[in-house]
Amino acid sequence: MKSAADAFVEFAQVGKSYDGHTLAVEDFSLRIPQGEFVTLLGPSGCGKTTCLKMLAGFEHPTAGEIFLKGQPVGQIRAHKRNIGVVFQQYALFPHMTVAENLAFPLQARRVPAQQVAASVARALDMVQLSDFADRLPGQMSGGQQQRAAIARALVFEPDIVLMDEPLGALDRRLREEMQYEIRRLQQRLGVTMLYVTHDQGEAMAMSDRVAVMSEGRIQQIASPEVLYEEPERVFVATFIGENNLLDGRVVEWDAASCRVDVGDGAGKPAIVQAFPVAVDGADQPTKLAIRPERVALNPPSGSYSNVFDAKVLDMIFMGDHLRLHTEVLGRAPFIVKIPNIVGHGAVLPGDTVQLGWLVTDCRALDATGSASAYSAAPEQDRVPIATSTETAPARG
Amino acid sequence: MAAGKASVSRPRTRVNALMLTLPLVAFIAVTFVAPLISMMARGVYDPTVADIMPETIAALQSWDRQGLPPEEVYAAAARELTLAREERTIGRLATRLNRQAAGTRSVITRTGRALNRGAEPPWSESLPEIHEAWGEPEVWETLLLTGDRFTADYYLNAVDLQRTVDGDIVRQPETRRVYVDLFIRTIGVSLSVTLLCLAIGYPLAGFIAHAPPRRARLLLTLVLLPFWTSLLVRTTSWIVLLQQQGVINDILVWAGLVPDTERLTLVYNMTGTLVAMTHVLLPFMVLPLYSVMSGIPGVQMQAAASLGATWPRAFLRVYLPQSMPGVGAGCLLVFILAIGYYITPALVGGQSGQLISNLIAYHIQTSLNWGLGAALGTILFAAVVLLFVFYDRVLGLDRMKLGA
Repeated sequence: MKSAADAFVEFAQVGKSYDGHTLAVEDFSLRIPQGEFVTLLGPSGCGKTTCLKMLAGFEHPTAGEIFLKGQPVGQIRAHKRNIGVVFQQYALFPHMTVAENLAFPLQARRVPAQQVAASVARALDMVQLSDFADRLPGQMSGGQQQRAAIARALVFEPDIVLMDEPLGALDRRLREEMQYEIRRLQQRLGVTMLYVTHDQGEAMAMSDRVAVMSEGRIQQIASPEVLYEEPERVFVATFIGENNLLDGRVVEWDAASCRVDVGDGAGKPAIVQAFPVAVDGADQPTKLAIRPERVALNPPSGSYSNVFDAKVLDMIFMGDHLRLHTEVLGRAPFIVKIPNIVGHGAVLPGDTVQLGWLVTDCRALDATGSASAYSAAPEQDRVPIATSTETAPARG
Repeated sequence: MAAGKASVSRPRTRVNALMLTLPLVAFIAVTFVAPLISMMARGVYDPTVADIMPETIAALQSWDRQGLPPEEVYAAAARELTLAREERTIGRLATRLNRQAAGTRSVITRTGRALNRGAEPPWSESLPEIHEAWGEPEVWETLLLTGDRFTADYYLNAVDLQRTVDGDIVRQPETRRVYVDLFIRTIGVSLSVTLLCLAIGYPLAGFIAHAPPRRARLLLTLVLLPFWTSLLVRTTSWIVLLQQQGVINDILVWAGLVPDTERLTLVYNMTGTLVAMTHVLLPFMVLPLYSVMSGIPGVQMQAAASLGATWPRAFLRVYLPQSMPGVGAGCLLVFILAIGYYITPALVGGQSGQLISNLIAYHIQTSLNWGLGAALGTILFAAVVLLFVFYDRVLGLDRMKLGA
């Protein structure tokens, strides 16, 4: 095992299997420095909640080791780990008032009664629930219950706070409000946070770093900006935001750029210049990922390395942008987003246009992973809002 | 228009709905409420003596109870006893008087026979000649005591008290004190059975409630299985298991824990009653507990652990309080059923394992002392109602959950 001195929490090659042969979590390694907000993002069934439960002590890894403050936690029971957990269904104790709920972890730690009262009052004030101290959880709204649950997970000053889809049961507006509130609290208190969600918007809005998970493995871990701008795998490219995918084969390769043939193999080759991410030589299969908003419509000649004729199939007016369904290089639909600004140019279905994109906006990724990897996973909760458009070669 | 129509049709629907429940209400009134009231009335209303010997009782009212009553009382008694013998009601009279004062039966029947053969006035001399008891004041006092149509005697008797001719209420002679001890024993057995059911049922219900669905279904079926078996079969199979030559004793002897000569007496005593009743009543504890416990999310205990609570603390502060409605319902149900339990103690209770309901049955079926049976039954009924009211005050019936 490598040293975990600088990491506050470390997962080292952790694996978990419930039935002995299928792995819920596989080779999971993650280091979280103190004070960082890390989110595990992935579709349901990808193992993110299992990781959380293993850290909290509700489940035990079948491989690897988890370290908290440099100490392995394998032998430490859940109630001794000093970890705050916020559950999706709040898990407030329904027979206790909010104040009693908050006092519970302090009483379990044998904190003197006077101090308990002061800490509870402070924690309630922190989440603006001071007027609700004597309410039972059942007498409060979902948002208030969630704030109480968060206060309860923070009141005993845990080393780290884990949140398992805490906003899943709230409506959209409240969810956005709470995202901001949780982030603000975390920054104010400087507490280390491990957050689990399937909602990419939530992950992007709150986290210092996001670990995108699929099928028990981390696909990529990076800051939200990097994840969006520089996805390293097709799964990430399609799970975070929207991407057009073009299947192809590398023709020429060097470290800064590569030429990829995206033709259907039968006709003449169609060469696209791309930025090599997951390819390292010629003749490799690849998928090219191009963000719809990075495609220029009728670009001035010479400004883009990739310029292709395209046919507009459909145009959807979205308010702040126009959404074009086009056919390019024999693939459809190839999505293009045009901001609704002065002079965006009128486009009608049936028009032939030119589409252009930069080499750096066209990332040559692995050919194996695909968006279907997660849509095939068992669905328990809502699939992320992200729409992935994978354009297969048009037949015939 | 629409509103007007609705307001017209609503009372009619309500009337129709009430009409639909009418057969049920009538059925309950005829088969449950009426017998209950008539039975309870028997405990306080007994017109036997007042109907058969009205003139004697009336004449006795003027008796100063110094010495013996005057001749007119003797005359009325002789006349009415003769009539009673002819109308064959003298047996009932004798039984009723004998309950008040043991030994009075022979006084009445012998006098009836003698009067039938023929006897002459003055009755104050001939009656004591027939039976010397007529020469003592006690028999007249007995008549006076039983002469009221409305009597508290049965209720007093049911709590081992009696009324003297002076109107004082005193305890029964020691040999006749039965019922208070029996009530205490019944309550003790019911409490023990309730606690045993709770001790066995609580962990069982918890295990079922938090088991994976398939296993939970199987276990729940096993708990319910006894419900589908005849009560008699279940009880008698306990005899097979518990008797001295039974399975359990055989195993204990075989294992060398008990010498063959000192096989344990497990049935036909209190042990048998406790074991069999606990088994029979267990589902009534498990089902309400299960229904409440399956509503407690497993994540509650995880949350308690994550907040630093040890398992015992999490159980006592988080799980137990949330399962209390089930505990209350289960205990109330089992206790109420146990307090009136009849068949099981009758079959496996032997002498020492009999409960109050066995004596009620005895008085209703064998001794035909319906008044006393009614009094005992009403006291039992009142105890259950009291318990219900108490439960409602302390825990609240609305919080009770009986089924899923």
